[in-house]
Amino acid sequence: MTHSRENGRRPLLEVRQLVKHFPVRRSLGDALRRQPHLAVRAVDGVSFAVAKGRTLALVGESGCGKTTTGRCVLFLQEPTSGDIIVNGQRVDPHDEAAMRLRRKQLQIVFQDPNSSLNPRMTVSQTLGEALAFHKMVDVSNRNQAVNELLETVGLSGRHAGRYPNELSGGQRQRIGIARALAVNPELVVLDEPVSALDVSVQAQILQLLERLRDERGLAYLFISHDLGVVRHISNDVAVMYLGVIVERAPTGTLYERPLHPYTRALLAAAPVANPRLRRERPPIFGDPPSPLSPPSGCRFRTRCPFAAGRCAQETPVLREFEPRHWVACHFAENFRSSAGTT
Amino acid sequence: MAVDVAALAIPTTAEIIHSPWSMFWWRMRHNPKAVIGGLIVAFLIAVAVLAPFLAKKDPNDGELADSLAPPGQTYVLGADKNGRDILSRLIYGTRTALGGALMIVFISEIIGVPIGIWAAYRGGWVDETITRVWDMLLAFPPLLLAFAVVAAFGPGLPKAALALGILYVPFIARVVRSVTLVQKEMAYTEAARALGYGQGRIIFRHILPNCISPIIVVSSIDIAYALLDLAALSFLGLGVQPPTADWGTMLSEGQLVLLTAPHVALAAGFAIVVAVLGFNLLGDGLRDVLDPRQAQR
Amino acid sequence: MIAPPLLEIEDLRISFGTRTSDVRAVDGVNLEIRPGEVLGLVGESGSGKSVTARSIMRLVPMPPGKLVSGRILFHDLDLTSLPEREMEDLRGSRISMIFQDPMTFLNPLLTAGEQVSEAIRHHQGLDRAAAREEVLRLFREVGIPSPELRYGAYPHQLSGGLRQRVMIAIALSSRPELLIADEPTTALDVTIQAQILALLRDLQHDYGMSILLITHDLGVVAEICDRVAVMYAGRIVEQAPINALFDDPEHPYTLGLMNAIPRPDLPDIAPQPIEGSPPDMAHPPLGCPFHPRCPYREPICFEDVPRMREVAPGHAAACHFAGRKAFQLITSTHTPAVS
Repeated sequence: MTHSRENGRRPLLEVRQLVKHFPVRRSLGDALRRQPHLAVRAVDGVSFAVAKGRTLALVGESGCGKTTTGRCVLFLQEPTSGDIIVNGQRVDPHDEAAMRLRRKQLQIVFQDPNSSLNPRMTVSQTLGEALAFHKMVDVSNRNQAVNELLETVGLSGRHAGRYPNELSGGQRQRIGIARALAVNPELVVLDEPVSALDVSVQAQILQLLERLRDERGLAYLFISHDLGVVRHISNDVAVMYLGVIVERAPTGTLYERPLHPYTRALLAAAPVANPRLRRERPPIFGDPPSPLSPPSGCRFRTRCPFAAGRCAQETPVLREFEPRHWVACHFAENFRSSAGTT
Repeated sequence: MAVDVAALAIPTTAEIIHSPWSMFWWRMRHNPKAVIGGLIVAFLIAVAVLAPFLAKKDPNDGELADSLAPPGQTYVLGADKNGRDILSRLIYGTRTALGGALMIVFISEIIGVPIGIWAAYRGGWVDETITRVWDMLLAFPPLLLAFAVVAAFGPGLPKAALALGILYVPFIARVVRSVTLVQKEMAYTEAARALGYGQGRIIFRHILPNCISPIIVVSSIDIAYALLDLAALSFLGLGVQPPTADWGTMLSEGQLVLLTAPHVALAAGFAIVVAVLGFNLLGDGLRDVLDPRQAQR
Repeated sequence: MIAPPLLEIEDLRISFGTRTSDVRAVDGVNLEIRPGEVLGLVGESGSGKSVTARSIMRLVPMPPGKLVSGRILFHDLDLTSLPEREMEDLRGSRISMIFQDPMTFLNPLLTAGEQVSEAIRHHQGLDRAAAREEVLRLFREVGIPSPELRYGAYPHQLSGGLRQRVMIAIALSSRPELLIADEPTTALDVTIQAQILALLRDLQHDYGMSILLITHDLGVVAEICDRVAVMYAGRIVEQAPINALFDDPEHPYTLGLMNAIPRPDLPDIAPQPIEGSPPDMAHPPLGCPFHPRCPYREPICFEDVPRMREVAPGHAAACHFAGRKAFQLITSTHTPAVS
């Protein structure tokens, strides 16, 4: 299974079999009794590719591993195993020079506007530091560069001297975006960039992100728990559950013809702003299992209305069901015929 | 009939820009503890700096004939057993008191701040070991340990200050460690790492500045403790040595003649109380003002 | 016809005095909740919806808050002037509340069962054994699987959805007439949110109580509310029955909100933002509080504060042009779409 050639272009970012386990410390008693080491299997074998200028959305609920995946792509977390390949090259995280270059290629925007900016630094200091560190402009041009960055994200030079606590949530998020753009990245990981904002401001930021992408040819890895938010901005969507990708498809296809039972449940669960479309019953029962010991075989089987014996014994592999539509379910065949959701 | 929103750029809310500095001063002025404490501390600093101009008589030389003279015209606060003017000695004593206390706190921070940051960053058994050592130190009153140290190495202000300084390390290191632990997890620290900043830069430019507030608060309270501890050591003859004017030694001398000439001990004791109170109030006031929860106006 | 209201809020005004200024968090709210209905109170952060809800139970600390004016009538009792002892009797028994974050609501040192049992024994005076039976019954009713097992579980051992259910069990234990739910599903995953909303709807049906649901999410409102009130800048700007609100919003803010939310069911329509940001309630705008962001404003909007204007039975909006202008809704619950 490779995603290497999409439209004949080599992808900008390729992630292969990414695994990230967080070991849980054993107590002395457990160690003496030789209990096995436990680990939170946050990401358990994830592969995908993002082509230049395209947006891949990584969607799932809490605990599915999407945030950890985003962090590993930037080496903010060191992967337990797997490859992160940018423009065809693997990078050794201990190679400082190569990592510096990598930092300019891949950037990140965080979820929480309140903690993503240093409260003791003005906007101009935060942005200026990034520009200076990567030598994006020389000293004499720095102020101008800061102002240009501010204008790019819909603010102005008069915001440069402000401290974060003088700005609104939406404005802070714009600064976070400006900071990421300061180094002219090729791909930006967006980690729930609008989840902490008011609805009326969310749309502003989404519009901004779209405009920036179109103007600069940026690729996005858009991480979100909200299927609604990603529909308009993403080209492809990958749905994650408990550390693995269960379905991946171009956006329209995923929303119109979802094949994995979890995707279908996720789509059905999102409340729609239309009182005439009320659900009779919630589409899914129970709570997600613990990532310390995911169920054998298919991880979703404990909540899947269609689970059968085979699901417990055999782990379904992510296979290309239709062109560019990948599903990890033994019975995907059966869902193809039923109508799509809403 | 839609209206062009941008064209009618009428400001409808007041845009008052407050820099963190101006907000800090505003809050300080309006906090009674900070004001009173601040005034006392400012007064003490002024006295220490201007000592030569304020003390009319020589603090170290006295007229034996005037020994234990009560407060009056010649000696405003009276004289001690060597005939030295108590007021002048109090004034000069401010220098030793503040100087000694500042030295103690300075030493504790030079050592404690890096240790606190290091423990927070390394985590694991390094962190555990260091915190256990602190806990052990904290279990003893610093004074007791200082006695032992000074008794072993000999008396004198520099050695006493060094001993106390080392013993005060846990106070500051603990606070710095907690703050660092919190800062490490903040998104802006991750952003700094994502931008490729090295650990050194992150610590100095991002983490340390956010430690300043708690450091200031702890410092001013530690100065209060240091004043007391130093005075206590001097009282016992282990700190400042005569003839240097010092409140602790004055208290010790005054104690011997407490019933016949109480003014000696009272003056010194009063000075100590006021100074410790001043720094404590200032520290409390600063803590209120710098509390991050109040950062939202 | 329409039964007398269960709860009536009359011209409520609450301010918070900070060191620099006075923030008018609630600026003249009139609201009524009828028996057996689910009323949604929708607004973004700073709209005053949480303060309004908490003031019903007198949970707003005063100081720094202060009740500038207004009354809250529960049946015939004026809650704003009730003695504290009587208010305590009311809380948790006739009026209950559930919150956004169950982890801070539940005591981490007591098991789930003990906490529900405590509530039951306090309000109903049952002995421990009888209370335990009642707790298990409640757990089953709120959909907690293996209730006996969960009785002895501590909050940190339970998932978010289960903790929320425990909180609901506590709130329901005394069969309240009114349940106030403050963003009960905001912190939950979407699939769990769907479960909790369905649970609330079923319980409301079985118990016949009224629910005041506070949320910022119009989708949640559409899912379970009978009537909706939209708040902005401390005031109610629109009130309507659920279908009427979504079919014909009559206030530009409501309209703006609906246009701004992403609609996965309408793929060709991109969310439209509302320009600007919510007002600084320490220095609110003159005239209509929404006018700085309103694409339909006219000079009168700068000067006069609009009053609630009835557009249809039960449907009112606080806009000078309510019912008189065609506001453009890009998404619509009518089919075909309104152009």
